[in-house]
Amino acid sequence: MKIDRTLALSFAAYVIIMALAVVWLTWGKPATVIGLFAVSGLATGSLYALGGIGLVVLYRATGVLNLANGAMGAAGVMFAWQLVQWGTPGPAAWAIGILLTTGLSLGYGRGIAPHLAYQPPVVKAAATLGAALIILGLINFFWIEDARKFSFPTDAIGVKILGLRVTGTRLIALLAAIGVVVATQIYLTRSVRGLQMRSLADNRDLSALIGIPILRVETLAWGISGLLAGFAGLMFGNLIRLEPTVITFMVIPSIAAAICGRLENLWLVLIGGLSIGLLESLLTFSPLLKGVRPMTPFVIAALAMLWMQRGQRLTFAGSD
Amino acid sequence: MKHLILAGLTAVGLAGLSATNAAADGHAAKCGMGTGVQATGEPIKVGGIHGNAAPGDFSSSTDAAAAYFSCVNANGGIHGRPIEYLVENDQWNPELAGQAALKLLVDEKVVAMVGNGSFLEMAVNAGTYAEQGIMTMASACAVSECFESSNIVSTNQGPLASNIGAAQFAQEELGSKSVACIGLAIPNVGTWSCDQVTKLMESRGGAGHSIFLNPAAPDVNSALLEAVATGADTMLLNLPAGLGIAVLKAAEEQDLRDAYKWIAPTPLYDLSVPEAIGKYWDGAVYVNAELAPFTDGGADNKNWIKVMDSYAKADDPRDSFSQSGYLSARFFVDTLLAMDAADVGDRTKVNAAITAISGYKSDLLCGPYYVGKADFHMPNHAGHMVLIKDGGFEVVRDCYDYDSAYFKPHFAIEKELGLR
Amino acid sequence: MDRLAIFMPKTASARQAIVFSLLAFFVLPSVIGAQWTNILTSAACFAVAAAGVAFLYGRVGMVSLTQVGLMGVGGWVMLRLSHGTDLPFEINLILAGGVTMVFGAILAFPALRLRGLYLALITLMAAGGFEILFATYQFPNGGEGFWGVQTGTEVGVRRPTIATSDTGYLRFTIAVSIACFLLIEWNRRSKPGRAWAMLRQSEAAAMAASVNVVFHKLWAFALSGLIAGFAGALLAGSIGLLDPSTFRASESILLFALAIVGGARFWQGALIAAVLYRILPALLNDWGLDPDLAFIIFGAGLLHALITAPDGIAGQIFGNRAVAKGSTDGGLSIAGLSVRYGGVVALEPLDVSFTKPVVGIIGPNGAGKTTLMNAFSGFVSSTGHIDAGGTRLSSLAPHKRSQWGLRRSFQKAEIAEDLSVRQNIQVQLDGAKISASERDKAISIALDFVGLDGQQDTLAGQLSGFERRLVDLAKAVVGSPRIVMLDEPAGGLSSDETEKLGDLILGIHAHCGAQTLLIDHDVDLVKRVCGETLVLNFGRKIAFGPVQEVFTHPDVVAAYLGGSEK
Repeated sequence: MKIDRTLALSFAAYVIIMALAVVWLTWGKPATVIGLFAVSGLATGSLYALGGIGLVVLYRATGVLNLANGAMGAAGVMFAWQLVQWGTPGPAAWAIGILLTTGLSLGYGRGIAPHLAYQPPVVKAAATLGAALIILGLINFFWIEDARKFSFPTDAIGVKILGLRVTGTRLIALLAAIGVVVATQIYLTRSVRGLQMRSLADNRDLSALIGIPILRVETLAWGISGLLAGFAGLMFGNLIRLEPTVITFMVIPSIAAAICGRLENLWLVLIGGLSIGLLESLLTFSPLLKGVRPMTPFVIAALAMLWMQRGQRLTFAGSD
Repeated sequence: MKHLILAGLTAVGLAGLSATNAAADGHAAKCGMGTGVQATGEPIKVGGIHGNAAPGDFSSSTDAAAAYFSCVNANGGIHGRPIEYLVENDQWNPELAGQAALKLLVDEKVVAMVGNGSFLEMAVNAGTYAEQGIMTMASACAVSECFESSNIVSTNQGPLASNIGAAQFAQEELGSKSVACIGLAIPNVGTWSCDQVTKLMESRGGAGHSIFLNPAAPDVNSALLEAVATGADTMLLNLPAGLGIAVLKAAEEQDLRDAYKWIAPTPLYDLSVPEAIGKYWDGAVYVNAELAPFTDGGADNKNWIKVMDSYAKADDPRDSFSQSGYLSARFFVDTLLAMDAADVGDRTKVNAAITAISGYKSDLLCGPYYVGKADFHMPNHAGHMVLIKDGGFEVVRDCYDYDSAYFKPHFAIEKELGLR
Repeated sequence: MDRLAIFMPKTASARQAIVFSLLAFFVLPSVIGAQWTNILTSAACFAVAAAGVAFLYGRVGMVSLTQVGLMGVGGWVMLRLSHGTDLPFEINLILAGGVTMVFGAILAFPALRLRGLYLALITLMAAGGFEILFATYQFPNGGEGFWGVQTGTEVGVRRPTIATSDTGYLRFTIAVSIACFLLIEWNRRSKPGRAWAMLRQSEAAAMAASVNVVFHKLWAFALSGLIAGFAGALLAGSIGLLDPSTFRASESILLFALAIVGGARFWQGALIAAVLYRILPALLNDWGLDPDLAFIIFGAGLLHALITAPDGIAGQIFGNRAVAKGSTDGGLSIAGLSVRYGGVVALEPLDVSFTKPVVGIIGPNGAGKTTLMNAFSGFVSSTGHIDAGGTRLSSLAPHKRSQWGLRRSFQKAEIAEDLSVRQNIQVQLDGAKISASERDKAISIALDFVGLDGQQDTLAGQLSGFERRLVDLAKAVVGSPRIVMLDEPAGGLSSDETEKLGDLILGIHAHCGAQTLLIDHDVDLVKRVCGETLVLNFGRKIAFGPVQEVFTHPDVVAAYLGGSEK
């Protein structure tokens, strides 16, 4: 009963704040223009959410917040682009790109992560930064700065939503974000491995004691998050731009979306990502805040975190 | 692998170009004294700074200058003395940029700075150059400090002139009435250049709007929508190539090609751009070229290709910055060769000679090149327009002077020097 | 007087610091060229910033990923004041530090509610925010008005009148840097340092000990901000103007990572971080190597440090080299060891070899665990042999075993309540033949290891239960132990305290090279820290091997679940 009330309070606060913000920003603007910006913002927001979901899936199962998520995705999409340049058919190149990212993720998960299994989460996260730096260094070494574009056949098709033409690729990104949330939720609740992942997230030592094959479950989690990172990398390369540094540091707004879901609730990550995208786009209407629009993810994440921690008091070290 | 990929690209992109050029006149590259004898005397130290790191590579200007200097050294050098060209990379880091200038000017005691190409080096070092009595002959500039300071002169136009050129062309030949300038939210780059576009349009009875994009923003869609909301009829992409392509892609999503006229300054004049933006934009994007088009048959343009083929690495890019670097180096060598042989190692005298440059000509430039004493330098303010077509570029307007109130002081100096 | 006394060089580390400072101030600037003068100035600025983020992590246990963003704030204030007022550089420097300090303190407010990863993430969000602010509004460059941005101007910042040349400015920067390092050191050794040490361990314990948690967290962040502000303002004075690209969020993360690589608990660590951050790329540039290489080196260095060297490069070089490392190289093997009390067999003949750094010994009550330890110590007479590192331990008299390097803690922490923490540990070394300075150094290292360095003069009687355990542990690791036996060290501790203790136990081998034998009932702890585990029941070995195998062994399961023995 108590939990329900907290949840209802949070939800009400969210709806009121969003409604106030949207009304304040769009006051007096023609509906058609608002529609354009709203849809555009939701499209960007779905990318934040997609990145955030991949982070949360891994964090829940292994306790690792993978800051190299973006770099691994960047490596995949750059390699896929290179393969297309070399004449590989599109679908094969995309698959290989995603596989490369998955391989990097699995490599880290099996090769490096176990050495840090008993470190606090912040150290685990810092270590993934090491991997991110190495991967980014290698990408920049292999591919110099140049004008590049990464396209899908779905770029050409599209539908009009509220006056804005939304391409097939953008729809795929949004549907994939929703699809991954639903699928992960079902997997975690219905399958044995999913149950084991949840157990692992709860208490690693206890899970080992009751006979959960930690290594296998963690490997699976790294694999799934690698697949997601590879897919997100392709989407970022297409929908944002094909610049390794930009894709690598997309991980920071993705973390903002992940924070909105408290690093555990995928639905909240999705809502958080979409809300950030929406507000960021609508801020274009504010002459004062227009210039600092990219700050939106950071401000919202910080507010969300403080809201979630309200009334809490820290006592013992160790648990975050 | 990086080098392999690059070598491959260059081979594909330029094999045809250089092969036909070399075949057209069988002569070797022409440099300096043209004696064909390797210079062996005491080296003359010359410095150059480029910026090469994420997010961009500005090294092609120093690459071209280095190639030209090698060619000069193989052809008798400067009265028998070879040029020792010392190049530093600022890695887009202001601290490294400052350190590089001090290393070259104070530690290495170079006599001149030639071929600099960087996004920020000029802003950091403008003061140092003035202090050290150096007249820097830059080649690839982007920031206002490069064009509005006493001791830097650049061969390229930078965003301000190139944007004015593009907007002027659109107003005169495409019938543009209102231009939306989408630029970077950086005062000495985007704001500086977009402001002048607005002034130009207003002086011609039109209107201009500035939309600024934060370089860190992942989303370019909102900026595009903002530009659309201004009611402009022409979109000016005052952005680096990568971001420019992203905006074009967002516009393609909205199928905006035929609703607006699309123009851009020189950054999009790059051989990899037509392919990167794809068939959709074929024949729809007009780009200003601040130096002669790559396919131009002028003597300097051909010699540039030959110098690059003979003295540069196969993977050094052949782009506008490369042309510009070549040209700065050539003008510098011409200046030294015109000096007394005894004075070419003397920093004060060399820089006095550079400052005195007036009326140098090249088919790569539309107007004369000069330096002169002033708090601003922008000798190159006339250019070409090209159209992205059939995976390449088609020249749609040859050399034309940019006409803006901004250039009034420049015109005055040119009159004084007898160039106008 | 005490305050002055702390500046007297008591330890090798302090002596190194003084020699290095003198060298850096007097010799270096006069022997290097213009380029390296500037590189070193920059490096000094970042060393200061790194020290600020390092003490926050190493001493207070809080992660700040926005240090470079805060430097940007300091730099911004410096530029604004320099262009907008006629105040001298020194005043501007202090004001820049002060304003940044306020920003740092604001960041501390989330820290009151958040910890660990979440705190790190909120500081990362702040860094992202600073990046956008700087990119949007830019740094003042001499223009009019509050923002002061004007295109085409290149007015540099005023430098201090006593240091206008590059060399002079390097000296000035070094002097300010030394002052910043001393400021951190002074805080660490006085009241705030003790409060931080307690906060790092347990906020509940700190509160119970009447530590003002809010104030000390706030102060830690404020101090870190002050130092970042100085660093940013000094950097502005060096370059003359600033660029937003210097203060990206990614740079903040990088500086934090390098502070760990360098070693967050050592002053040399911040220097190493600065060398990696600013001098290494300059060297790579000078050697004509691809600058991307620096990223790869940083990344590899970070992974290496986090996995194998929790105290970073500085920890590996300066950590505890001076004290000879004891070890049981050659292994610890037990052959036919048995103990009888009259007719009762307390320990049946046992044959086993321990090879891992931490070995667990578990079993139900009365299984013979403590008997085995007593046999090791020589407190009970036993038959059979114990060989360790080439020495037949079982033939030595009990006190000789202790001098050889056998250490032991008891179920109840055995400390003298009316001695200070330091004195309690000193007792352990009174019998050792080492000089007083070596002894003091060894004690300091041991205190530092367990995190009681802020409380060395506290009377042991005033310590909490957990702190007593830590003193006990410090006694066990001080000097050059070869075998450390811990008898139920986690008894009576909370789960969080147990986790902390586990970290320390895991670190013993790296700290002093000793092999640890851990007796405990806490299965989680044993699983976590032990490489191999011996299971005893009714005085008999029922299993031995890697932890995972041992716990799935049917006999062990039966013994623990109360099943009948076969």
